[in-house]
Amino acid sequence: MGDWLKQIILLVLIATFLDMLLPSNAMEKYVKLVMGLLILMAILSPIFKLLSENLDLTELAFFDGSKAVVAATEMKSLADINEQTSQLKKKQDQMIQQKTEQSMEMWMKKNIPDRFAMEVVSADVVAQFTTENPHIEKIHLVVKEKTTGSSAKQQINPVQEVSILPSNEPTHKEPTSNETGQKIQNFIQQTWNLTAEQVEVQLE
Amino acid sequence: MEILQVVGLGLITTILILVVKEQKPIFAFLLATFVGITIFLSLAGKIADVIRILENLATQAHVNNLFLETILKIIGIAYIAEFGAQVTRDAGQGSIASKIELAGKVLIMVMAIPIITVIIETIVSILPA
Amino acid sequence: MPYNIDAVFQIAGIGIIVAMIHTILKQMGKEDFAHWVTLFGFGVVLFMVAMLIQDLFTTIKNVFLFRM
Repeated sequence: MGDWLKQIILLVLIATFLDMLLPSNAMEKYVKLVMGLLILMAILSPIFKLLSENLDLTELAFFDGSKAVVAATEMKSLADINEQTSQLKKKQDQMIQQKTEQSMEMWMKKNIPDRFAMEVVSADVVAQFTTENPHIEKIHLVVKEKTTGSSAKQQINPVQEVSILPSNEPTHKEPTSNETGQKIQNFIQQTWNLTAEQVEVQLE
Repeated sequence: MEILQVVGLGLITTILILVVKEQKPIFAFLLATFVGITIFLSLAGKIADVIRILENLATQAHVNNLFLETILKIIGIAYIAEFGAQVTRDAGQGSIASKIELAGKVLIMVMAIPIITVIIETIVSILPA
Repeated sequence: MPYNIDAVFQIAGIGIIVAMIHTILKQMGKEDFAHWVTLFGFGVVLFMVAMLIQDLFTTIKNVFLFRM
C-alpha cells in the first residue's frame, strides 16, 4: 500500500517536472495525455494485480464459510481418528508388555545364577498391561543346577521337577529339590512383590 | 551564468546571420541550425542530471521501470521532433515541419497504445459482462 | 558551455568569404568557378553541422531513450 502510494506520488512529480522540460509546442498535448494514462495505470496497478492472480471474488466473499466447511469435514473423520488412536494405544500397551516381560526374563537369567548357583533354562513372564491395572500374572521359571559348579552339587539328581503351582498342593513335590526352588521362589516374590501363586519354579 | 553565454551566443549569431543572409542564405540557415544545436547540447547535460535524479528517486520508490522508460522516450521523441520541425520551418518548409510534428505525435500515441489497451481491458474485465 | 563557439564564427566567416570570392569571380567573368567555390564552402559548413547533429542525436538517445 505504501509502495503504491509512493509510486503514484513520484510518478506525478516526475510528470510535472518533465512537463516543464518539454519544448512548449504542439507536442505538449500528446505528452500530457500519455503521462496521464501512465499515472492512471499506476493508480490502477493493484487492480491489475488482482486480475492477474485470477482471484475468485466469491471465494473471498465466503472465506469464513469455506473454513467452517473444512472444519466439518474434519469432524466427520474424528471417529476414525479415535479408532486409530485406540488401536495405536493397544499396540503401545502390547509393546510395553512385551518389553517388560523380556526385561524381567533377562534380569532373572542374570541374577539367579549369581545368587543360587543355578542355571536358568527358560524364564517366562506373563504380564497384563492392556487392562487399566497393569500387573504381572505369572512367572514360570525353569532352572537347573550349574554343570560347572562343585562336584558336591553335581551329585544331586539333575532332573528334579518342582512345580509350585498355586492350585497344586506343595506336599506332592519332592522335598530335596524343593529347598532351592523355594528359595528362588521367595527371592522372586520379594523382588517384584508377588504372591506365591504367581511364581512357578521348575527344577530340571 | 550560463544564461548570459546562451543569450550572447544567440545575439551574435543573429547578427552574423543577418550579415550572411544578404549574400548566401544557405549559410545563414546552416549557421542557425548549428547554433540551435549548440545551445541544446549545452543544456542536455543539465537535463540529463535532472532525469538521473528522477530516475534514482523512482528506483528507490520501486516505481515500475516501464512507466519511467515510457515517459522518457516520449520526452525524447518530443524534443527531437520539435527540433527538426523548427529547423525545417526556419528553412521555409512549413509543410515538412508539420509532417515531422505529425510523425512525432503518431509515435507518441503508438507508445501510449499498450497503456490504453491495458487500461481498457482492465475496465472491461471489471465491469460485469 | 562545452561546445566551441569559434565554430559559429567559422561558419559565418566561411559564409562571408565564400560570398566575397563568389562576387569577385563573378566580376572576373568566371561564373562556373564561382559556383564551385560556393559548393565547396557549403560542403565544409554542412560537414560541421552534420557532425553536430550526430552529436545531438547521440546525446538525446543517451539522455531520454537511455535503454534503446
